[in-house]
Amino acid sequence: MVTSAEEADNTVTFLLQDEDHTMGASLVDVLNRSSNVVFAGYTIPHPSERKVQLCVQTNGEVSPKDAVLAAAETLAKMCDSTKKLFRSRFEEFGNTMQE
Amino acid sequence: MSGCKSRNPRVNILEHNAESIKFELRETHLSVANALRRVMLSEVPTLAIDLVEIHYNNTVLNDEFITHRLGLIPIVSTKVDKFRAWYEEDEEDDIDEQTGLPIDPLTEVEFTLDVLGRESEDNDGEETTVVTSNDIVLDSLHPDVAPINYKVENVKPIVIVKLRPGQAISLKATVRKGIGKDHAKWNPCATAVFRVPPAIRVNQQMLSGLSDAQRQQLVDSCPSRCFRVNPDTKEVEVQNADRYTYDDEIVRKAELLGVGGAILVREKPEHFVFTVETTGSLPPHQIVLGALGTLKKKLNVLSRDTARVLGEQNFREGGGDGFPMEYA
Repeated sequence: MVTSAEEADNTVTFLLQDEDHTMGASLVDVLNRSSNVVFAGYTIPHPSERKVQLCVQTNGEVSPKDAVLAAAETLAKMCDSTKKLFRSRFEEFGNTMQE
Repeated sequence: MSGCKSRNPRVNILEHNAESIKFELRETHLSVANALRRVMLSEVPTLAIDLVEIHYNNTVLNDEFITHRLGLIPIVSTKVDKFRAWYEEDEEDDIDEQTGLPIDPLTEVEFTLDVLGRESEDNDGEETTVVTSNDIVLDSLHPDVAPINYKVENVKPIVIVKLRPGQAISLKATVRKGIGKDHAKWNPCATAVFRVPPAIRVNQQMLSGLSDAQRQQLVDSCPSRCFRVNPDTKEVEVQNADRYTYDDEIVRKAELLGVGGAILVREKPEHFVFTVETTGSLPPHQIVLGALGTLKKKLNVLSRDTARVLGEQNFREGGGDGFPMEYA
């Protein structure tokens, strides 16, 4: 589940329920590589609560929400391509072993 | 969309056998490598015994103890995709390609275990009856869901409990799908680690002033034995870089010998060597593929939920007070 609160102009803090560093760190990484993102950071306010606060500030060209959506899409595409690549490399490796 | 450019990592398989796989992941960021590792450990679904109904138990181990032991037995989970776990949402049922009918996902499979400790003769003269994973009776409808190495010859099965003559165990065990985040018994990995290989540069010119004894001292200073003196050329060379532990001992020794900087070690950027070992429930490459699949699913759920929250207009106009309780 995701909820959010607006902090200032072009700045939104998203609250990701039931997430951890897995999502937090990778999203922040991708966000920070985007030219439209001024700031992206995450925190886990308390270690025994499964919550991540993700703060995103953009330059106004896109909304923080769209920036997060784009980041998630970028990562999802990366997962797909890595999966495909891994599978083909794995098959190649199996074939070379048989030869 | 905002200028996020997709960076697709490169993959290279280094080693592979029935229990483990070693592969390189390059041209990606640390956070992605770490996300992959974390998902492999705690979010790749497998099968495990989750609920045990004990009918009779007068063994030395109590019910809970046996239940726990049963839970930790790795179950062959290659068919895990056909299962649905309690935490999974009701999706549209998959359609069977041949019949065109929706496939009803499985939720559980039942094993039974009934063993009586008997007097000698049929136990090779032993007093003790060993109850193992081979004594488990599988669900006749799902013979491919079984403990690992089930009734494989010359492979020792997993011991559950030992019985004296007259002791008996009778139970029904329910196998369910789950993830390592809920309980470690669903974790498919024995190990899932990555390391960054070192890039080691040896400046032979700087080392040329050292005596043979000093070179040997230098080489011996490395506790992980990554260097050696070439017996012919007497040059210090890297022997097995992948064993280097970033201890910096040899770098400091070089400084002490007055040739600081002669050996330079840095981490290879954006290069991760993964080692994944399985418990036996899934083949190692399936763990990696499963992790990438799970990661994508997580991202899709996140996208969907993010798209739902805070409409565009809400954002532009500064929103109402529709903020979540957590912020109140």
